[in-house]
Amino acid sequence: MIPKRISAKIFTTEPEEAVDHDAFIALFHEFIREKTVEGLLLDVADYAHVPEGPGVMLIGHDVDYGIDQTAGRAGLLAVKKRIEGGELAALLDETVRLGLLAAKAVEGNGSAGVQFAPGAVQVQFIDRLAHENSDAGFGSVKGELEALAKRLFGEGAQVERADADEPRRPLAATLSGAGGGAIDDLVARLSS
Amino acid sequence: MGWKEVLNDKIDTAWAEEIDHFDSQVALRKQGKLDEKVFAETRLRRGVYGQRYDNGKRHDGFAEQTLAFADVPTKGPETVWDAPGMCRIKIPYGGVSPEQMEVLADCSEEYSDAILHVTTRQDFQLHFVHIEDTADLMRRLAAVGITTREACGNSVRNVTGCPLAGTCKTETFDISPYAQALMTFMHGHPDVQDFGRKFKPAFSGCETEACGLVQMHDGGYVAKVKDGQKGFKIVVGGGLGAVPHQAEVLSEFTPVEELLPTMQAVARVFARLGEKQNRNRARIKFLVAKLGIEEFRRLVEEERKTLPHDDRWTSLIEDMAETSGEPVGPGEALAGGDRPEGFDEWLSTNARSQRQEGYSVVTLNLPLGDLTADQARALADIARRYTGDNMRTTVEQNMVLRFVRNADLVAVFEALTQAGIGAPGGETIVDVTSCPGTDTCKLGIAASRGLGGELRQRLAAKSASLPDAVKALRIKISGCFNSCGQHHLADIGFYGNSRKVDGRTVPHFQVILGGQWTENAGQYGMAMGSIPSKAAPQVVEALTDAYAQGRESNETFREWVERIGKRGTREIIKPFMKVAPYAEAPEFYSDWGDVREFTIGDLGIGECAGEMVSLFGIEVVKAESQGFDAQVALEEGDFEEAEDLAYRAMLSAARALVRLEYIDVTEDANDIVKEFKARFFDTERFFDRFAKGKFGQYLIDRNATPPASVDRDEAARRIEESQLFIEAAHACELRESAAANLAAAARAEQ
Ligand code: HEM
Ligand code: SF4
Repeated sequence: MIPKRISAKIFTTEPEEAVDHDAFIALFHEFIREKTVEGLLLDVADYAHVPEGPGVMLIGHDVDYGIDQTAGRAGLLAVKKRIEGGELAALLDETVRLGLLAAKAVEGNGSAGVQFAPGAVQVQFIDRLAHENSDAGFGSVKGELEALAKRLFGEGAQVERADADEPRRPLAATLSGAGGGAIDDLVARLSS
Repeated sequence: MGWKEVLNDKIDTAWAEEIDHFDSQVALRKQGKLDEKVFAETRLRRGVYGQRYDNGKRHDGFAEQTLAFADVPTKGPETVWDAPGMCRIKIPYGGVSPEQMEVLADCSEEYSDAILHVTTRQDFQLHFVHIEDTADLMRRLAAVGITTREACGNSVRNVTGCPLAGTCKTETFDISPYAQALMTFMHGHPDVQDFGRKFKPAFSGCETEACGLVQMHDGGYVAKVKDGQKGFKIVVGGGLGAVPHQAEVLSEFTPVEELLPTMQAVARVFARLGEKQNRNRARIKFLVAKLGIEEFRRLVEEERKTLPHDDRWTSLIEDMAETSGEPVGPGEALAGGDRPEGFDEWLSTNARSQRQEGYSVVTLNLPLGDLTADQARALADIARRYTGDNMRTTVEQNMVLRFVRNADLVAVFEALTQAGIGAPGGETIVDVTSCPGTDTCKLGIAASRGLGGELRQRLAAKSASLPDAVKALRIKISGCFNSCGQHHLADIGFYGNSRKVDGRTVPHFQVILGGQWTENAGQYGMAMGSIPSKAAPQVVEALTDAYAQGRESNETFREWVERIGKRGTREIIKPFMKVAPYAEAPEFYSDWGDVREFTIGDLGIGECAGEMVSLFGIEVVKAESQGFDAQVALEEGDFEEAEDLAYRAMLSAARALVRLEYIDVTEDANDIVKEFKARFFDTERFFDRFAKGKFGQYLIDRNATPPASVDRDEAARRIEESQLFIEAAHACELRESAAANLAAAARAEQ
């Protein structure tokens, strides 16, 4: 089954360090104005007051972005929403690409003062009906994830299931490997 | 297979049918086969609201932009189909089980932004939800016994009640089963389908505390026992909003068996006689005020006699369990042992001992009412492990855990802290309440949440050094006069408005001081003047410093405000009222948590800079100072003078508008009202999109029928009206000058 939502998170180089939320508020307003990142961008939602929460979000119609701090680890999160159909492989590619490009835009702008570590990407299937967070659920997407990891990070890439001990969270996995390179290199390896 | 098939046999049949029906209406509307107004009414009755920018327009700080949504039918007048909206989820008296929390968490991740927001009426809200997802959202909630039906619309809204019910030392008895009974009885009842406006009920276990807030509700029920029999004192006609009213006593004692039929009779009277055409006069408070409580009571008693008998009047009450759940073990004292860092501070503010020996109620001080999906799941685990009882949401946008064994308090503190929801300072000055404001509300004028977050952060940082009397104060913020943040009930309240300075619009907050939190919110705070949004933290500091220093023995904040009077408080606030020109202090021209240059209502009409101070600007000052004098007179007990001054303040503001185009208007009241009516009211130029002619009507009504006698309430009401009228005059002038600027710019381009 095709999930209605998929997310991709690219951690910062210092994920445990505090994030400058005010800088992200300004930056995301600028992204909306300049249409810097993809999607129909709607508004900025400020959740800086929530500990280990979504930080500051850039809400869109078909994709949300945010400087997410779930589990105390900061990263650029892209959530592809309103998925109506398509091939899972292509949808995964698309989501990761949105996340990488947004991370690049944040880095490139510089005002938020964060750098990203593109050696790993965390992917979530945010649709409990289509993708249970169980061994069987993981089994049904493992092949696609491995193929994606290999494309991104080359031979020796790893796919590690995340949140296996918390079946109430969405099905998730971390894709990583040493052979990735810079964000641009990763993006070039994804179908667009 | 979809959620419909998966959950088919888990949902109450009637609920399932209703949701399926809603689902098909969504489909019909999308195909253009259902009228947009009919669809809007349908979705609102199901708690599916619009949200800011859903007209497809948004000002980005420089210019209004059109959001490039696909061109499909609307969800309602000026509401784009694809624009995300808000879903309000009804939580009767705030009671929520661990299983329900988990489903709420799932839904927040799959349909919203992974944030659950607790409202000031104990509901949950999800934001940024797309219309196509709403039916499945409803199904998943319905499968665990939660409904969104009548969370909005002209119906009986969520039944609220003290979150401590069943555990509280001051309560007469546990109101929860009766709140549940009223909710079940009124839900979808035929007699509540034809209201002119919403009806908000609330239960309280006692008269002395605030928790039930019955005095500000359309219908309020206070637990009483008479001759060994349980019953309720019933009050009606309270409400906040633009013109706040305290509820009046319908009955000092109604036995529990008569609770539901009495409410049914009230509903019928309200449906039959309440205003239907003019939304702004349609709440039951206006009907009660118009008829007088004696006549209203007589009508309800007559109506009661004619009601056909309904077995549910008693069966619903008999069937209810007294408490929901059993504690996990016997109550036990908190042992000596090691206490983790921060525990003692948290214990002093966030735990309250129960009537039942050895147990406590623990408050989660949720920042601005928000918690993440992960935190909701952690909370469900904590509730299962340490409390046998349900959790409750609170009107202060918090949650409480009940029946926590004192012996488990350390473990609960550690678990909450681990989950990021163990903040101390619950129900203190740090624990700021705020409506959604400009973040998501279409009516928001100023950033109530932005200010709330800022104050919370600043106050938390210095909380340890605050005197106890200051720590105990409450701050509540609304983004506009509608009062969803309940600013009238706070020691320090704010509501958003705007002012024109230096040719630009500057976000402001009206300061409301001295609301009474005890006695079910028995007295409302008083307006003290508008300050620029960016000065609000300094104003809080100045007020709390002055209170800490000037307070006599055990004087409450309200008593202190009353003693120093409006003049005294104005002295404190005045230095912060001024806004420097844009070139010197541009930060004043944008709001908290937002870098865009401020515009009102996101109407998107960019205002040209460099305008001179207008004639209106000079004249309206007179109205404001008369309004101020009216407050002083009220304080000094001269009600007639206060009422008259408030009326004259409205006249001055109206005259300022009229003089924009008819400079020779006299100072005669009838002349002013005649000109105002012809030029600004009948033409609807004075109307705004939401309040329509409401505020203009205040002046016209007062001019047509001067009060025969004036008491404190009448004077206070006129003062409120005059403030709103003046605000509306400002807004009208802003709209008109913006339109004139646009026209001038268009001419210049030709
Ligand atoms: C689409 C957004 C909203 C609109 C259009 C809206 C509209 C209004 C209006 C017009 C009033 C004044 C009613 C009157 O007294 O005649 C009001 C009052 C109130 N609303 Fe809202 N509101 C909105 C959102 C909210 C939210 C999000 C909350 C909860 C956080 C809320 C809770 C309340 C409360 C507690 C009151 C005052 C108490 C009362 O009169 O019963 N509202 N609202
Ligand atoms: S007070 Fe005003 S801004 Fe706040 S939620 Fe209510 S209507 Fe919206």
